Amino acid sequence: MNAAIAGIKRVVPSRSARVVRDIFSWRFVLLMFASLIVLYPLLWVVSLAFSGQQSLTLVRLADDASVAQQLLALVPLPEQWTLDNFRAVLTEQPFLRWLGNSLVVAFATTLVGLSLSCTAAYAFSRFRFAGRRRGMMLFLISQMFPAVLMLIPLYVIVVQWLGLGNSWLGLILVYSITALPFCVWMLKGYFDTLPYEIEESALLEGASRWTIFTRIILPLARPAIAVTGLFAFMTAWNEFILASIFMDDESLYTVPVGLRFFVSDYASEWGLFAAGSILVSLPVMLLFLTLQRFLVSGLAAGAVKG
Amino acid sequence: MLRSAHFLRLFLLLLMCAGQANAGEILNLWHGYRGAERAAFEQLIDDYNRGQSDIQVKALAVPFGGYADKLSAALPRGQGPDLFVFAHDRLGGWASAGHTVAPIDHYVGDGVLRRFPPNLIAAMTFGGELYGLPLAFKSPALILNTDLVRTAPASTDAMVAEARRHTDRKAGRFGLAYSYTEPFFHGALMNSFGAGPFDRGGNLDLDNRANIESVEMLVRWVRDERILPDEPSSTLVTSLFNQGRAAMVISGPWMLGEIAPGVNYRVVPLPINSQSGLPLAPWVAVEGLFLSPWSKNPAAAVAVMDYLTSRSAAEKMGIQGGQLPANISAFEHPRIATDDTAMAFRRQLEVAVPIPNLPAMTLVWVPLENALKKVVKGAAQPEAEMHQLQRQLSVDLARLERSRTRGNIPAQMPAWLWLVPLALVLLALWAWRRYRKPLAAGWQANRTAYLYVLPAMLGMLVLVFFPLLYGLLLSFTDTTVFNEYTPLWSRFVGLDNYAAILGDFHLWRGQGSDRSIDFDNFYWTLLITILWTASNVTLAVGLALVLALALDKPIFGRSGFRLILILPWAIPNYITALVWKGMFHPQFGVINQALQVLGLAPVAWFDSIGASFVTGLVTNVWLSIPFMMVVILGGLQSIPRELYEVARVEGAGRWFQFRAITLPLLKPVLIPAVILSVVWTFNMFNVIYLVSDGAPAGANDILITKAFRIGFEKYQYAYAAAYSMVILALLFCYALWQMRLSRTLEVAR
Repeated sequence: MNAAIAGIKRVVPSRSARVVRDIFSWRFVLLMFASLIVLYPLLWVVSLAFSGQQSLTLVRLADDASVAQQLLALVPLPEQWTLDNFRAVLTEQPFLRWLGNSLVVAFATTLVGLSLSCTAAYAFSRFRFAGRRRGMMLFLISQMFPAVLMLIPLYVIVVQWLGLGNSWLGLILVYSITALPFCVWMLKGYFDTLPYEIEESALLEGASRWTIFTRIILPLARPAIAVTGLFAFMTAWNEFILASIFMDDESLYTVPVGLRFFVSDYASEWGLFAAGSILVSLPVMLLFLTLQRFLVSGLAAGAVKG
Repeated sequence: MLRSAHFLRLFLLLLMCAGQANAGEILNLWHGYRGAERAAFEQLIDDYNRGQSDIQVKALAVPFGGYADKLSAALPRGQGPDLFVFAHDRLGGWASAGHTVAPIDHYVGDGVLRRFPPNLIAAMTFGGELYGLPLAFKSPALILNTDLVRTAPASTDAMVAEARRHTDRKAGRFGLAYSYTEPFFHGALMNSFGAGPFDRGGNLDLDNRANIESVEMLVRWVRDERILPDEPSSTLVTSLFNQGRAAMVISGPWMLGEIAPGVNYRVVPLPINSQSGLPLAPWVAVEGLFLSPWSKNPAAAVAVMDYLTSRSAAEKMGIQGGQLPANISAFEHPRIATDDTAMAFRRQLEVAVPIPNLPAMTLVWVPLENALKKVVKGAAQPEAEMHQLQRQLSVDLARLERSRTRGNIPAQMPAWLWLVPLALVLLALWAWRRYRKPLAAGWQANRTAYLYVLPAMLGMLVLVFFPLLYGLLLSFTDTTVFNEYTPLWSRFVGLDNYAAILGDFHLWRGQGSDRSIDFDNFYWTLLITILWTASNVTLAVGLALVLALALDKPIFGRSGFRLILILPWAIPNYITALVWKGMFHPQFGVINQALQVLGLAPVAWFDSIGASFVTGLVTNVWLSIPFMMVVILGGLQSIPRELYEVARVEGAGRWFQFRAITLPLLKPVLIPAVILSVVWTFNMFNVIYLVSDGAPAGANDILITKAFRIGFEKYQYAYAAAYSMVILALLFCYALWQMRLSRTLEVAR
């Protein structure tokens, strides 16, 4: 795209023209296509949740229908829309309470995880010390051991040794540490991209490392912190097995544990599970919406280009 | 005034609570009930607590998915409940392992035992000792859609003839539907020919004539009569029945709550097997109350069992909870005696057989299911497959048995083992002397750095490296369910497990025309895992990069797209993975239906290795793109826009900009993300387990699911730990290689 066209665009800032141009761009087509693929399976979840039933009506194709009609029949829509499943999820069990518990645990995990990982990643990125590479590797190794086989030893440590069974603190600690390797690795990667010159001049002016870290690095790394924070949040938000093993009090359950009540070996209430899943993912979507602002924070500089 | 009254009431309430808590000893009771069953059960417990003041029972409901793990984590370590409700089929494993359940013979009299039919008491008995009281039973029976089928078929021939009348495969109608590849349901056929999977002595006897005949009969129903749907699952069976597309189904009481209101149905006992002349004898799962060996007051706990299985309690559970009580005197209650459905299950119980509670039974489920899947698809002959299965399971059982005998020999700790800690101490001393100076210097020079890293490292040390060490230690033993609690050195086998894994070159099994690749082989699984990881990461990173680039610059509806595209990450992957599995269903899945609409042939997704691989791949890529995309989006933000401006002014094209600016500057973010996602995909348990479940016959299992199966389906804990260590070593080598590679690239540039 050359400067002349960019110039014209700046002269004619008509909003509708831009929308039309956007819609006919290949990017838009691509994004529409991707969104359809993403949405289609989710539509099944939504339609199951709103159907008021526990299993979906199977699609039936009429032989004499046209191709378009047949394709239309593949779009999952419930025969009737009802909020019954949502009502049942919210009233049968203390679902909102569990949701609240999960929020506490997940936010605490994000906080603990981010503070541990930001400091560690900063050191890995800015200092050259003995054991730096090995330290990074150690973080990675922790991701390599299958989690299913960690259950018993984790139980021994957290419940028997630390006595943190049946408390959120135990969960928060385990979740933060689980999220740590990813956070450290990603943050180190981002910190590496930040120019060192700012820090150097700040050091020359007599600023302490801590001031530099909190005043310069952290604000600059906002997109990275948003991404890793979201990750830490999700780690705690969707975890089921540890939460169900550590907690011995129903009022302390987190929401994934509550959700699994709907699924059992014999009969599973998929409608309730779907409705619950949608409720569970709403806070995540809200969180992402707020974080979007940080994800695009670097945009100010590039706003001119189209 | 109002407020103080409020306070007073609250205070009194607190006092009462405290008084109550002090008044009695607390007994913890875990159960997995929900809905009406739970309400009735907790009502009973409330009544009990109110009826006396010595003992207060505190109930905890645990969701099914985490229940077994919770019990096996807590009980052997002296934690957990005083008593718990669970299905009886795990009893043998628990009793053999020890420390999990305690016998209750001492505490119960004959009067209590007479409440239950003998087969239910047998279910609660292992090795001659009674371990619990039966609470409820669950067995399948025949459920008829009475609009289609009026009279209950008396024999299997009559049932098949009736089913054939109602089958129209093209219209998606079936005369009979049930999860016929699940051993639990196949048990009805198996038991009607003979003794089931074990002989009288409790030895595995899967390939006797009777069992082979039962499989042959099933194959006839599926392949010759064609009265059954493909890839049956309980959800599919329910859906078919609710839409009137299945005239008869074989299912249990758990399905009744899901039958749609408009469907008229009737439950009847299963018919007589026309070939053997015996009735179809389904397996019955008995929910029992078990006693923890750590209970401080076992007598009181058994008294609670006694109360919960009394006639009045059983009636309440039957009427309000919809349960089928094991105390069969409850069936005399007028409300239950006039309930045709309950009485049909009651009649079915007369011929039903409790699931064998032998520890070996838990080894049978999955391999038998795989074998059944194979034969009903015509991929194997019943007789050959059952012989094969018997051979394969005998090997696994022999392994377990070996560990048991080893556990029985009181072994002394070998003297040379003392050398190991000694050597470690010496090594530490030497290292301390050798490295003290440089370490101290390093600490002085980089104190800030170490302080920044310390908290994170400390956490990792406690919560990650201790479990890892535990796994490492476990991998040098032959720990199984039988010798879990014997002293460590009596289980010590050195490197045997590793030798067995890495030295497993039996790539083929069977002879001549039956020869096929042995999918349990380590190297086959490794190959699949590598293919799985490579294809997933390539696709996910590539597609995520394209989407992130498309989203990076302003476009109409950008934040909307961004939100939609992260949705797969936001919704619990448990349900989306199952939706994908449903979409891939060969008969009713939308993917095949869309293919047919477009005039293409449907694909049998779970029958061949390639197609089954694709199902997992598609699901996993769909699930992992959002995360990758968000990471890359964040990374794109850190690229200074001025660089593009400069490039544009210099006349660089888009492709050049991408290659010269975007990719190199994305690398610090992309490389760790790729390394991590390789590690995660390598160990991606959920998708494989939920979507293809390794179909066909374990061919698509990756190392982690195989390790899980070895540990939790075959009870060879140590072997599974060694498997995990091998996984770790492989990934470690990969990470080293990748980092060296990216570093050399760095230098080259």
